[in-house]
Amino acid sequence: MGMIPLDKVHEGAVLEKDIADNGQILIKAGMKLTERHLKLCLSWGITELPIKGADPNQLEQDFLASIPPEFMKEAEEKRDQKTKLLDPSHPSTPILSQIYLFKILKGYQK
Amino acid sequence: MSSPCPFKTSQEMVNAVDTVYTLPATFHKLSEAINSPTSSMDEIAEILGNDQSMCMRILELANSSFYGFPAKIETISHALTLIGAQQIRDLVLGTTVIEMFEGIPSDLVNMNSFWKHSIACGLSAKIIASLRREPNIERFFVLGLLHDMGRMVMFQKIPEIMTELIQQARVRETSLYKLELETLQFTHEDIGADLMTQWKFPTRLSETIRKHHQISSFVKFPLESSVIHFADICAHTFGFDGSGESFIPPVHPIAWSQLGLETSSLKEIEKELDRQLQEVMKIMMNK
Repeated sequence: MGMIPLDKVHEGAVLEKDIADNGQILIKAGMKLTERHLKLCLSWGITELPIKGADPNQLEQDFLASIPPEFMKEAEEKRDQKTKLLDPSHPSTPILSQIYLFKILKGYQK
Repeated sequence: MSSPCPFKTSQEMVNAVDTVYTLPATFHKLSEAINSPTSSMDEIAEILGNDQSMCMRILELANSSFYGFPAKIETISHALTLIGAQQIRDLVLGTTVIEMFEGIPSDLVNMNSFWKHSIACGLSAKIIASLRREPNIERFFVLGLLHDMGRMVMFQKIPEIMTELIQQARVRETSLYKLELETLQFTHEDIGADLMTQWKFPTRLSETIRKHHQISSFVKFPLESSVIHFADICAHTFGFDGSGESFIPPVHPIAWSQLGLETSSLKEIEKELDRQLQEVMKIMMNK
């Protein structure tokens, strides 16, 4: 099972677990999601859904593969510049650098 | 430095701050009522009721993803019972200060980006505090919101010096606050803290602001300082970098071990921030 961002979930995807709020089930596990479900999720402030058979790492890789190499190079340079003061040996540095790189890439995508 | 700084200490600069930076009477009345053991919730609600636009903002926040309450909150009395008087006071404080500074333009920074950075830092601080299950998460939000207030004063009072320091920080690849300290012997942390002291804010707020970059084992409020220190780093990393700093500030090891965060929580903070940011920004920036 993978948690998939709401904007990446398509109609027909199958919900792996119940979506509940304060103990009340909003959408039951096993449900094939419709456009209406997705709209409701958006209005409830849900940002991601547990989807059967989905792999979030694959989504990340697909996203990276969709970036043209020249943009990737530019984005990596920007990231290297911005993260210059971070200690390379600190455990938070790889994640902070990765989040920053994705921010730049998502900006390109828009 | 091309021109010497006319202020020898942060206190001197704060003393020269115009009367524009005066908190409205409503805020002091509210603080007094909250601190007095004899005042009732009704009295506090009445004081708040005198400021309609403030009431609107508090209700908007109470009904937003900032809290995510299941039912709609219609009145300020209801918000007071649900959220708490102290917490509402902190939110009023944050919105009042933003309003006060909003009208003051600066040639040095884009005000919109500056406040986006501040709100992103406030929300990140609130999210970090709730991940740690801290009580009264509103105070973390307000601390984050106001952490760079001193810089706003510096942009107004010593714009030429600040322009030069921003450029130097870029060229020398260092933090702007380090250059502030090196050149002026005080930083925006001191200005913000001294201004808060002048406004008679609680020491917990002013002393946290005084030490959000310069973390050591001796800071007075280690948890608060560490949360704001890391929330500031989060805001920069998530792309809200309008504070004047050119680089993501380095993570101080003392703050990091104080917080005890897992590296996996960083993506959680980002996701939660994404969920709340647009709405809270709209409310706080009145747009």
